This record gives sequence, C-alpha cells and structure tokens, in this order.
Amino acid sequence: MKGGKTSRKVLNELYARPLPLVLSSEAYNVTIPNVFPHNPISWIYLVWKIVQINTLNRVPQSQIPALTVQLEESIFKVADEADFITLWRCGFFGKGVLSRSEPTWKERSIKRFNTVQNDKQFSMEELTKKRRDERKKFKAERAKLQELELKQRKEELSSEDAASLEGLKILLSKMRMNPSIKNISTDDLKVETEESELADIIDLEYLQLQAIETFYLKFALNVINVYESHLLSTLQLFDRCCRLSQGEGPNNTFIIEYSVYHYFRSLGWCVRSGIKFGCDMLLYKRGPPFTHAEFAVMIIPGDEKLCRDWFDMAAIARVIGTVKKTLVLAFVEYPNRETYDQILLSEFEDEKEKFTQLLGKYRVTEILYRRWAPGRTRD
Amino acid sequence: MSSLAHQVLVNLVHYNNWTSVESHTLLLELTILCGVPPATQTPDSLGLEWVIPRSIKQDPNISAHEINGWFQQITQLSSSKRPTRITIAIVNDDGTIVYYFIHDGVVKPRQN
Repeated sequence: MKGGKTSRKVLNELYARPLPLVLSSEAYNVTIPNVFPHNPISWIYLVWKIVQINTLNRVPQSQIPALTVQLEESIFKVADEADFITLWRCGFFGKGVLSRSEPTWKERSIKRFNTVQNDKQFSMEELTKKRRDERKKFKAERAKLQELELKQRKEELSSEDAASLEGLKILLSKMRMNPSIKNISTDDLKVETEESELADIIDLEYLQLQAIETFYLKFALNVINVYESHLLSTLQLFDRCCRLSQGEGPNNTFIIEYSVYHYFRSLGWCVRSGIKFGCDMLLYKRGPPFTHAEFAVMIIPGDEKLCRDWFDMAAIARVIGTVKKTLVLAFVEYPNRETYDQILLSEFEDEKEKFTQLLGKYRVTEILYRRWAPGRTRD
Repeated sequence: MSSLAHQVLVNLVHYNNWTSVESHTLLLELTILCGVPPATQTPDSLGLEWVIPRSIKQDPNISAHEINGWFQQITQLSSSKRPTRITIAIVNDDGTIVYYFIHDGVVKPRQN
C-alpha cells in the first residue's frame, strides 16, 4: 500500500481472477473469434476454434493439482502458504486466523520484530493500530481540557491554567482537523524480541475456511481436496459440515446458508461472513480490497416458527444503516423431509448429481429492507 | 483445552497482544481464559480480564442463567472476588472472533 491506497491498476493485476479457476482461453491464448455473417471463412475459422478448444485444448483445470484443506477439530485449515495466497487472491476465500482478512501476519511480524527497513507498505491492521493510537492521544488531551474547564466553571482557574487551557483548545482543534495518519514510520510498529522467538511465531498463521466456503470449493468448483486423516468425498464433507451446524434434515443451518452462499456466488458477488455487523453475510462487488461491502444479508429460513421478530429486524437494520450498507433479507424455501431423504438415499452415478438435485430443491428469494426517513431521502 | 478455547487464546496472544493469558478448564467442557490486555479500557479495571469462548455456529443461544453461572465460576477462581465484568469471545467458523463485554449490572457509559 503506497500512501494509504494502492492504485487500481495494481489491484486489478493482483486480483485478476475472480475464482481459483484457469480458463482455456487464458492458458492457451485461444479465444472465440468474431464472426462476419457475409464472410464464410470467418465461419470456418469459428468452427475450427470451437473444435480446438473442446478437443485439442483440454480444460486446464483438470491439470492443476487440487489445493489441500485439512479438517482438524472442526476447523477447515489451509496451511500451505502458496495455497492460501491462491485462495485469497482468486475470489477472497477464507481468512487468515491472525489477520483481519487477508493473511498478512507473517509480513506484519517481520516488520514488527525486526525491521525490514525502507518499506513503505502498510497492512490494514497497521493503519488501524496507528489510528487508534492517535485517538488515544486525542482523548488524553481532551481529558486534560475538560478538567480545566471544570475548574473554570468553579472559578478556581489560575492564570497559568488559563494559558494551558487556551493552548489545549488550539491543539485539540488541530488534531480534529488533520489527523497525522498519513505519516507513519515503521518505528511505530516495532517491538523488541529475541530472534529465536521470531522463527517460532512466523509460521503460526493458516487460512481458515468457513464450512460453506469449503463445500463451495469442493462441490461447485472442485479445486480442493479435503482431508480428515483420509480424503473426504463430497458426501462425507457434506455430512461433516451439517454436523458442525445446528438442526437436522432439510433445514440444517449449513444447508440453508450454503444455498444462499451458492446463490450469490453464482450471481458474481464476493460473499464473506457478516458476523462483525451481526448479520449472516456481506456482499462485495469485487472483493474487500476494492470497495466496502454494499449489502448485508440476513438469512430467514422459510419456516414461520423460526421467523425473527420486528425488534431484531429493526436492530439489525439500524446497525447496517450506520455502516452505509443495505440490508437484504434472503428467504430460503426448503424441501420437506421426505424429498430430502429420498434424494440423499438414492444412488447416483455421479456424487455431484446428488447435490445438484438436492440443492435444486432450495429456493432463495431476496427482499431489500431499508429504513426510510421521508424528510431526508428526497432526491 | 478445547479447540475453541485454543483458538481464542492464540487470537488474544498473537493478534491482540495480550499478556499472561491463562486458561482454566472447568466442568461441563467450559474453559475460561484470563489475561491482561495491552492497555486497560477503563481506568477502574485492574487490567485482568476474564474471557468466555463461545462458538456462534454450534452454540448460538445464551441464557441469563448461564451468564450468571460464569460470574459465579470466576468468583471462585479469583479467590472470592466477583468481577465487575466479563468478556465473551464469539467465534465464527471462518476464525473471526468478536469480543463483547458483559457487565454485572448497570454501568455508566464511557465518553467516546
């Protein structure tokens, strides 16, 4: 990050792929050519290209080794650094356990503990720390000011105090006007540590995937292998995921959440967890480095007993409103127990077909929920 | 120690830079952590904070009865001094941990 914001061009290069998939066109540099209806040669050329893409150049995805995910004590872990960088860069999957989202722990620790000098790049966590330190300083000065003002009201103010009161007033207004966040130096982040300690700490971070993300990467994209002492099949993975969540049968929280996750992913949104805002999911247009999330999703299973009351709704909507997002209510209709069991128990040649059938029975409908203040939102 | 408590412990030590973090495993698979944050949030606290790890996916509901139980457990652990507040660490399945204070009664809000 240079000067606080990375340029759009750098971001576009870094996050060029929206999913961890390689397309034939990208790998072999083949594209479907333009067709000119009056020109027969362009038609022949098109047919040749289609044949070329479908037969000669196999989909390169099948040639790329699957990424490794470990299921350990109910956590889906990606330990290999190259793998987690791929998952983060291509679609923003997972979260570094010691970072806010992108796994930056290693870089941050190196900077914190020893000092790669002349490095002007700062992670989001470092900027936040700096901003909080500034705020703390501001609050300390403000406390002093308030004490003096109290004295003034009681008319116990000495001439010395009066001078410092004026000084503080000027200082505080200055701090309010221009926070000095722009000028950070690496010295602010340094901590003294033994070198041996550093080596132990540096490899602590792994990428943690949500159950829904793991299942999406396995079932929908087929780019990972999940191990739990042995390789898990899609069905076994499904079973594990369901057991990690509440409920049994068709309205298990995992399946409900997954259907919504898959739905928004298929529509091209980058979906991330919304726990920090008390909702189920956040929708990003491209991903966290580009813009803030525009929408917050609250999932409501189509079951009247489980419906949230108006107080819950109002509370969440107000929180979402203050962070300038729009609340989306995602209603999920799910199949009855009979249909659910029938599909899960029947035999399919392809495991994937079973889940395509099953998830096809889930329907997602979304409704935008927005507080409207008639006096303020007149365009 | 449960995997959940371990996750919170690692987060406290390596992400939030807490010191002297200890874990106390009690009955019913309940683990309570205590430690010292890098800066005290309120002037009256002694620095030591009590943290209850909790999974939002596996255990989404909390009762007042349960919260009172935690206060009592901690009172026993900290040699019969009831804490003025505890911290609940809510762990999501993507590894995000959000922390919330639970106060033992009404507290004057601090200036923002």
